[in-house]
Amino acid sequence: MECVFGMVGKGFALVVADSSAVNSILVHKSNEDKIMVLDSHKLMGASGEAGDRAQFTEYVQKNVALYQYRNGIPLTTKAAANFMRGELATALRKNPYMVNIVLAGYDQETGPSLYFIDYIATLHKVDKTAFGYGSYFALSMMDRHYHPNMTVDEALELADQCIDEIRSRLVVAPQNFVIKIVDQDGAREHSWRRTTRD
Amino acid sequence: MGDHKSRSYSYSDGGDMQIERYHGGIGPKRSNFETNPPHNFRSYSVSYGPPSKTNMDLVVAGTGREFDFKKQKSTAKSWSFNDHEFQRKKRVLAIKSTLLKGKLKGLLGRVSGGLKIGTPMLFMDGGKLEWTGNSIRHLLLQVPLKMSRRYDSRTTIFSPEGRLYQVEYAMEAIGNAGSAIGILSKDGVVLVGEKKVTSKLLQTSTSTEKMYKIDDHIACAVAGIMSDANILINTARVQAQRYTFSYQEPMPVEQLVQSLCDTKQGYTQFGGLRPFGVSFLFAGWDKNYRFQLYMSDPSGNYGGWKAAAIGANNQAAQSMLKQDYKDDISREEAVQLALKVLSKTMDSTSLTSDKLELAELFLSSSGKVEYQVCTPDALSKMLVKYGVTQPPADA
Repeated sequence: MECVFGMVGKGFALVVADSSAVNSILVHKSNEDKIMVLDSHKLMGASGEAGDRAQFTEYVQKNVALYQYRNGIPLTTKAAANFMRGELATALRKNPYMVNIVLAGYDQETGPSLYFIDYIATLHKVDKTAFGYGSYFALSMMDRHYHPNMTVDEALELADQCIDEIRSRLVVAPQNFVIKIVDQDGAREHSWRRTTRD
Repeated sequence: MGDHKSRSYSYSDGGDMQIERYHGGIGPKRSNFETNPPHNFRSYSVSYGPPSKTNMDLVVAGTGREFDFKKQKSTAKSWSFNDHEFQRKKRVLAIKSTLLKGKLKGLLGRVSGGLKIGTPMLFMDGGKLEWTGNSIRHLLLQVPLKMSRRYDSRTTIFSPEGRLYQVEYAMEAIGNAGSAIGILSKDGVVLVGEKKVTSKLLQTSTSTEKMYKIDDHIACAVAGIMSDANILINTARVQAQRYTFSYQEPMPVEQLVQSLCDTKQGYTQFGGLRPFGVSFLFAGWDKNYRFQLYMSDPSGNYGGWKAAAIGANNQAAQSMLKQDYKDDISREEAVQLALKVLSKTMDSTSLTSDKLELAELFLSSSGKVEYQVCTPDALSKMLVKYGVTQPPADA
């Protein structure tokens, strides 16, 4: 039961994802990093079919890099989100990518932003969002406790509350979670929340 | 057999030799070569210029027989024609061919024997056909008489000096078109164009001859063949919209220019189509580099400029701009400078608003990019204000 969620705070955006790689009843590994660093100031948390996830996220990452090499300027978060949506939409009626994505980015002019991109190419710009069964719990927690312009600590506290809820209430809860943050200094891994060591 | 239409072929610039296909049923069988003369002249080009300039191109590929002119001459004489012009040409050709015979013999050194009638011949493109008396004569008659333009018939070949003639000829074509000047200022870009088509009868209500809007934030001025320009402008518009469709943002100006120039470059490298005979001045605004001015030419090269001129007298205009341009020029001063330079380099005697087009790209007070074409009235006022109107001769 994969779970990805994210939120926007004051000058930063946070993405949390579980780290289990599962095939039916077998857990291959529980330290799989599902949050890809798209470029210096973008994070992409992806959940869904493992093959599609890897394929699509890498495809987007390379295209974003190519754009930067070709044109000397990086894509804005909005442009990257729309590009991704376009790719998903084009593939949708032929062979869809079964990947759900939470895109977080920081732009110099517009600050932090968060995008919800569905596997059927739905695109929404949001302040808080979640995917998977865990979303039932995470979204409820965020609805209760989220407020705009949270500090990093406040946001982390909220993330922990969500993780606790998922762990205690979801029947096949993921064991470990990874937290990544993006702000004006860049995109980077923040911390892990483990219950098992792999 | 075949069609009896007379067709004239001219094989080099200036049309120095017009060959007309003869009418009339000459008994012997006509080869494919006559009914469908190949247009791939490279396979058969033979120079008939003065010996000193002559640099032999390979006449035929293959079969290893030397071209026997004596034989050809005798067969030619044995025909009877009523066409005197044709007789004259035949005689001229006979004289020239003897001059050439020696050179050919040397060139075809590696082959032996002679091309006799009935010898099968393999052309460079793989086609095969029989030599007959008629076909040999016909081959000779179809060769171009001037050699120096050998490298300009195809866009996709270099000349020995490493030039692409077709591209250069395209630029020549632009040098005859109405000029356009673009000037970058700190708060906008100014484009001025000289209209070549001025007639009272022309409907000029909304359409412009020189200035076109590519997207909300990019405009261009054109110099050259208008029909070519229309194709490229459409391509540019599609590219800009495609970008916006993908990224939901306006296309950066340089990327648009780059992508259009990539298209133009394609026509100089493959496809066998001629290059576009248009030069552009692109003016645009984007958030990365603010106001920008780009100039692109038929070769597919482009550059970012502070001030540029294209079309007729662009060299003179460019040097004038170099003298008078200042880095911190304002938009109003840029308009003035552009009008002044254009008035000095235009051919026409009187500078009136119906001979010019003026467009400006600037930011409105709300921060949105505005593209504005000057109305003729406002333009006339401006011409008077800057003192560049020359009154017509008959005041």
